[in-house]
Formats: sequence, C-alpha cells, structure tokens
Amino acid sequence: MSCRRARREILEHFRFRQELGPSSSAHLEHLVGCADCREEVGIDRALVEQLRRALQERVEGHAPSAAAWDQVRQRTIDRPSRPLGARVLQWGRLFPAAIAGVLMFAIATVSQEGLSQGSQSPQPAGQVQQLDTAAAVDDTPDWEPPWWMKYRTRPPVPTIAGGPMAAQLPDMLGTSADMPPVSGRLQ
Amino acid sequence: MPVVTKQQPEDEGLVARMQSGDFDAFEEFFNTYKRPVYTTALAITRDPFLAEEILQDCFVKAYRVRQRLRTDCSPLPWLQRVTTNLCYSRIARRRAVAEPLTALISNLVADLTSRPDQIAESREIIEVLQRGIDALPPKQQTAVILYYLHGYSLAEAAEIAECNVGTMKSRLHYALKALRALLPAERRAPAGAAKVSTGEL
Repeated sequence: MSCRRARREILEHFRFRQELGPSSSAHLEHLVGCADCREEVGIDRALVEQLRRALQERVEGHAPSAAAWDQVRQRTIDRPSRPLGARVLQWGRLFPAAIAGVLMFAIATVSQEGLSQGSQSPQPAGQVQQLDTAAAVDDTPDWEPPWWMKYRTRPPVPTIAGGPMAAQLPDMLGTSADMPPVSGRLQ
Repeated sequence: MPVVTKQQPEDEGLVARMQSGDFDAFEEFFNTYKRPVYTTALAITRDPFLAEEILQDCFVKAYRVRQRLRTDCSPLPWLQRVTTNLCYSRIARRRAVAEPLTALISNLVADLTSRPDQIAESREIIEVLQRGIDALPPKQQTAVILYYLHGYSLAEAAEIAECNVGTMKSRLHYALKALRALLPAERRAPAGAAKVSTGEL
C-alpha cells in the first residue's frame, strides 16, 4: 500500500469517526512500518483536537441571556396584530408617488403623440389648393425645426441631373439620348 | 453535545401546538432549541451580543412561519439553517473590512518561532486556528462548526447545510487542509502528539 493511499484512507477514518474494520489491516501494517505516515496521521489528529478546542473556546462561558425570551415574546406573542386599516395606511403612503408616476407617464405619452401628429400633418389635397399662397407665406413665421429634428430628417437624395455623369448616363444604361434627365427621388 | 435531527419525544406535538396557537408551546420551543441556535451563532460571529440578536431573529422568524414548519421531523435543522444564513448576512460587511489574515498569521508565526517547543500547544496556536476559522469560506466554516463543535453526524450536517454527504466531507476536508496550511510545519502538532501510536488502531 502506498503512503498516499494509506494517508488518505486513514485520515478519512479519523476525521469522520469511522470504524476501522478488518479491511484496515493493510493500513495498520503500513503505519507500523512507516514513520512518516504515523507522523502525518498524528499531526492531523492533533489538528482536529486543536480545532475542537478552538471551537469550544468560542462558546464556552456564554449562554443566551435571561431577557432573550422576553425580547422574543415582545416581538411575537405580545406584538399586537395591526388592524387592516393600519396596513392599508402603510401602503397608502406610496399612493402619491404612484399618482405622480402615472401622471408623468401620461404626460410623456401625450406629448409624444402630439409631436408625431404635428410633424406628419396630413391634409387633403383639395384643401391645400384652396389656400391663398401669398397670405399663407406672409402668415407663416420663420419656422425652423428644432435641433433634434434636424438630425431626424431624411438626408437629401443626390441628384445626378446636370452633373458630370449626366451625359454618360444614357450610354451606361443603354437607353436613348431623349430620356428625360433623371432627378428627384427614386420610386 | 448529542444533537439529533430526528423527532425526539419532547418534540412531539410541539410544533403542532404552536400552530394551534398555544403560546406556552412556543416558549417551550424556544427553551428547547435556544442553546444550539445560540451556540451556532456565537461560533460564527464570536460576538455574544450579535449572537443573541440572531437568536431572537431566528425565533421571531420561526414564530412567523410556524404554520409552515413540518411537524413530522425536528425543526432544528431548519433553525440551524436560518441561523447560519442570518449570521453570514450580518457579518458580510464586517468581513469586508477585516484585517488581512496573512498579516496576522505572519505576526503570530514570527512570535512562535522565537519560542520553545513546549508552547506549541499554547494560546497562539489556538488563536491562529481561530483566525483561520474566521477566514474559511462560509460553507466550510458552517461544516466545521456543525461537525466538530455540535457533533452532528455527516448526514445531519449535510441535511442542515442542504447538501449531500459527499459534499459535506469535501468541505470538511478542504477546511482542515486550509487550517493546517496556516500553521508552520513544526507547530502543526503539540509536542508528543505528532505521532499516532499503532496501538490506537
């Protein structure tokens, strides 16, 4: 039997208070002939003894105080059960905060919807034709989109009409030269 | 200290009486289990005042959840579990600001090496072990306290710690290994106790 195996198994026996049975005769033989293992096992046993002493010292001379039960009793049996009204009142303290939260959510939602409707401004075509253009222009203040809308507008589509590639485009596309200049947005 | 988790004669009906609103039963319940609960709390915290607070908190909790306590087995494992949880939640902050263990050990070891062999079993060794126990991870510390202080069996300690027996063995093994590593080689055993006699086997 190797020292490694003997130590492991014997230490387990000692540490966990297991009985050494007939199968332990090999361990015994090993211990008789191996001073290193005897010392190793002895050290481990001494450590466990010292550990027990150290743990026992932690609790020696101490006990729960006589007032411990009184304290527990006050917090349990003698504690008056709170009526339903008191419990409702306790939760009621959160009511203003809840109302404030709901209001803030509602305001944020309404303002967001108002902004989105204002930016789309769908109007029938006929109504637009009836407007007096000049008056409309005069009455319209110099409106500039806010800074945050500038970054949300769609970037301008590059126009190639009149550009340096305009003349070459029909040839590139294989179409006739009578094709109207390409401009505006692609459909 | 013999502690068993199986139903004891004095346990019979105690929890059931508590559940039926018998206040005397709760006092009896407290007096029956206060000692092991307090011992565990004190062994972990090393603070009698904190241990008493934890004792009270544990039984207040037991009273609040008394309707859910099992009546077919001892409530002690549950109480011990609550106690260890309360202890580690209370001392979590204190651990964070604790003095580094290595410095303490170095100081103690330096003192020990300058003294004769006969003090190997002295206060310093025990103090090193106390610091070592404090420095163990909570699960290993709990295992050591349940097994070596309370004297629970492996199965009972495993039940309290909510793990299997193999895991409990492993925790104890690593705890002892860590504690042994803290001691200088020549001080790991008291003089004369370093060798086991073959006759003991």
